[in-house]
Amino acid sequence: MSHPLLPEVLLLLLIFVLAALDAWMWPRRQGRGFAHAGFIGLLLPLTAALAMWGTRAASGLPWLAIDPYYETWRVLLLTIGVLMAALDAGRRPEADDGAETTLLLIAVGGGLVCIASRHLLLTYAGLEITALALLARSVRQGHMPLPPLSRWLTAHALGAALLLIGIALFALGSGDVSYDALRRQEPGPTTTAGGILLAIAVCLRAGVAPFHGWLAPLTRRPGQELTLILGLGVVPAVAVMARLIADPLIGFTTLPKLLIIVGLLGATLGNLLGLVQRDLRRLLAFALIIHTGYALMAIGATGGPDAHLLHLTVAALALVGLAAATEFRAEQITAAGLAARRPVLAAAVCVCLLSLAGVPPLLGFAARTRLLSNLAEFDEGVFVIAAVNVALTAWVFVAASGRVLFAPRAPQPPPPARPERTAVLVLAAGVLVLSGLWPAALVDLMAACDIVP
Amino acid sequence: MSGLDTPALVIAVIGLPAVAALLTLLTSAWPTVRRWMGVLLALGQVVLVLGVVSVFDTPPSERAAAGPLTIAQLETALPWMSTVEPPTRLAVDGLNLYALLLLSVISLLALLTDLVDGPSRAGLRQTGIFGVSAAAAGFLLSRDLVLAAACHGTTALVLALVIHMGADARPRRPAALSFLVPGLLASGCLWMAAIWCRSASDGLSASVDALVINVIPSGAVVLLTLFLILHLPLVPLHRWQTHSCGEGAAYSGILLTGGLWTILGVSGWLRLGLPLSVDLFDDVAALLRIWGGLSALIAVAVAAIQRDLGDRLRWACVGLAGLVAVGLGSVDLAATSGALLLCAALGLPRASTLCLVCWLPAETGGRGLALWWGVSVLALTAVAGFGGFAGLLPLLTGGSHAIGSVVGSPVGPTAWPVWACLLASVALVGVLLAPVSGIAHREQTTTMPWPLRLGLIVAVGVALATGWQPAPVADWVVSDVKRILADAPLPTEATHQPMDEQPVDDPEDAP
Repeated sequence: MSHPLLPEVLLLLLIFVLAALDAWMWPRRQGRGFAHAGFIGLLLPLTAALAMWGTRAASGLPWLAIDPYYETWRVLLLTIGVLMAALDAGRRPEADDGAETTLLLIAVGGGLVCIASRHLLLTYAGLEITALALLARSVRQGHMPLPPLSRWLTAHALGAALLLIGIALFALGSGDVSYDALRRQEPGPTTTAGGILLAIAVCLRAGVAPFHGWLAPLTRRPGQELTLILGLGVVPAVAVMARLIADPLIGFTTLPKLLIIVGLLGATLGNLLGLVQRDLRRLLAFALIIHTGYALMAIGATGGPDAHLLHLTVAALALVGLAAATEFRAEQITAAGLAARRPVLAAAVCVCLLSLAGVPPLLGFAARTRLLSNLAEFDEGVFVIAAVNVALTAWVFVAASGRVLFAPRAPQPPPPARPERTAVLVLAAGVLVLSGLWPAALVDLMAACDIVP
Repeated sequence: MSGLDTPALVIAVIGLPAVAALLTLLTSAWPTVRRWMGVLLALGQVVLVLGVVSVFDTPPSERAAAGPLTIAQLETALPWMSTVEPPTRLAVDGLNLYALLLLSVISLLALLTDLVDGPSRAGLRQTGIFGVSAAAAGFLLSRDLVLAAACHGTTALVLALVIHMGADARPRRPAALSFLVPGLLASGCLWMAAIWCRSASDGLSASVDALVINVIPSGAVVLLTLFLILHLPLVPLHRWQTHSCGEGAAYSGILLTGGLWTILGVSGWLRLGLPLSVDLFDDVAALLRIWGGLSALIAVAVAAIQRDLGDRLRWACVGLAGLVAVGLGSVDLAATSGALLLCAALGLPRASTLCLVCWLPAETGGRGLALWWGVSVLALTAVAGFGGFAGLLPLLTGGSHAIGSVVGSPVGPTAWPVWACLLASVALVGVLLAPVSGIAHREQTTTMPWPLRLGLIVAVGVALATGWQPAPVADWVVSDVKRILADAPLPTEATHQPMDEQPVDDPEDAP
């Protein structure tokens, strides 16, 4: 139980088993059997990852970094995977498509690959695997309208192209695009262009403003799918960005400043759009734009990995919790007046929203504190602008939770939640509350993550 | 039992209500069990705080603090945000001791008063009351600004929920939101100031003991001052006082808000804000004096023209906050101590009177109710014989002396805030006593619920007791206020040592 790649091996085995089961059981796919199998199966790698978290194992592989930073991300990604599999299992009874569960597992595996990679081609492969698996899952699951599909595909193709061009520019310089080789390169015009293209490509994948155009149409998708795309598509991209900035592109001193500008832009834009937004599903997308912005600022400020890790943890847990708590439909969802009909559900929604707001005693408060501390040491002007943004974020999400609590009773009661969804909701809200009340353990684990192995 | 070897008491003061909140949630299905367990645990909290009071060393003659700080007793360390950073410290001092006592008593009263709101969502309200109690205790005890901000924000959030969970039939939204927005804004001010100060110093600790030896950015001082002003409250940032304690709020919420919120702000600012504001002391003091004086005059004028009894009382509370602000801004031992004493003494009468006026139906009256109203108002307006007078008198005399010593004459042009306070304090008595005859002449159609009556009895009793024997509370306060205002010479970082390692002065070691 101590090999550093044990969770990944388990995950791989699970994918094969589920794929085989899917092929074998094709005519009899009724109920939620595959989703439950995926959920229980994902718990195995998560348990192994939690047991190994913080043990500082070394992989011994040149292109893969099994370091504490990766271990933290592994836990986070597998947690998102487990929660999403539980949400899958908690959907209304319908034909159980084993392919969907398999694609979910592949997306998690792709995320793990790109976070661990220490070679640009492997990074590219990981990002592609994740994005294609999520795209295929979304297309299979429902009736993806043309605009979101085309925008997503365009953004995806553009990102892939930029990434490949950037890799090619780096390859022109040294012929080797492993991180170790890139770190030794002197910044020149070609490599600078390559670095900027890489950064843009990853920002495009992360949906950071002003590259967030593909996110908006996706908000017409059901909340669970949106959360899956946001959680498993965007989060690994930010991890890749942090790894690139800290390791192979460390010589490019302008990139961290660029990231802070992009992060500020994203957070400000997300906040301003969120101020006038009443649809909770769109607010989820803005929440991720805002939190990705904060994460990029934390990466740019280079004050330790805990700030951006905490922000993405909060965003992922809150988004999964919100997806579990609310039965999203095609029409506009405000969740206004939910407290009058379903007080427990409303309380959990409020915990998630207030955590996004950065209000104590929830985990978002610890994340904001670490971010602002880093920014205050980095530059006072940036700190002041970020502080205004933090206040705006608090306003946006406190107002949203106020609508949930205080608005008049909704005309139609929300549909009853299945036990799986309730469990996900309670788990997400519980983690946000408990780790917010006593954040020392999580903060220390994340602060001790060295990005450079 | 020595005052220095019982730090577990400090943890228990926070932990007991937190555990009580959890137990309340777990026993929500059994109302009788929940209620009795709540009362017992709230009594336990009172006993715990009395234990803290009994081990408190008054005056703390043997110890010293590093700079213009309160002298910490019963210190305990808490690795809250991170175990690798310097741990946050919790401690009792002369400025938070009475506030802790007030907190435990008001929590018990709130628990009993909650019966008036009926059984609907009573379990959640009781959980909220204990949550407020735990978070407010954490705020009062913390010497770390970030932890204080976190506890403050938690208090505001949970208190807003308690206010919100009043009776179903009444409009609830304005009350809870009116409180929550300025409450969270105040928390945000404290939080930003903490982070700003920390980055300007060693970047590790946000403890006031570590920050006080560094240069504090002026922006942080502005934020700390805003924190106080939002708490007092001063016009035009007074809406939480006039709205959140009004129609629709739960009685327990009104009791907690009216009794605690101002003393939390004043005590917190004196302990954490004022020591960090020494470089801009004069500017902050002048701002508080002028703003407080203006606010007191405006609030009393507005209170005088209110026809509704509740509105009149709530505006009068805003006027009283103006007096406290002038006292805090007078930079004088008597005036500042008086402001804190006045603020502490008004907690219980304000809370119980706000509950009374919220319950009092428009058509109900009678001699009994008029008598209660009159006595409560006398306690609230700090007339002689009640606890508030022991604060108001030194506030006015100290304020006029301090301002006079600055400008050369006690009736100089900058002395007007003190005269405004004097005028406002006299006018408030008339404004609030005027409705007594109206209440007395109404017909008594209903009897006052016993929890409200009990609250009034406790409030008036405590006000009378502290009015005739103010010395114990004053002894707690004065030595620490004196230390802060003396603006002790700031030691350099090299000479700064934790208090437990403070070397004993030995004349033979002197060069």
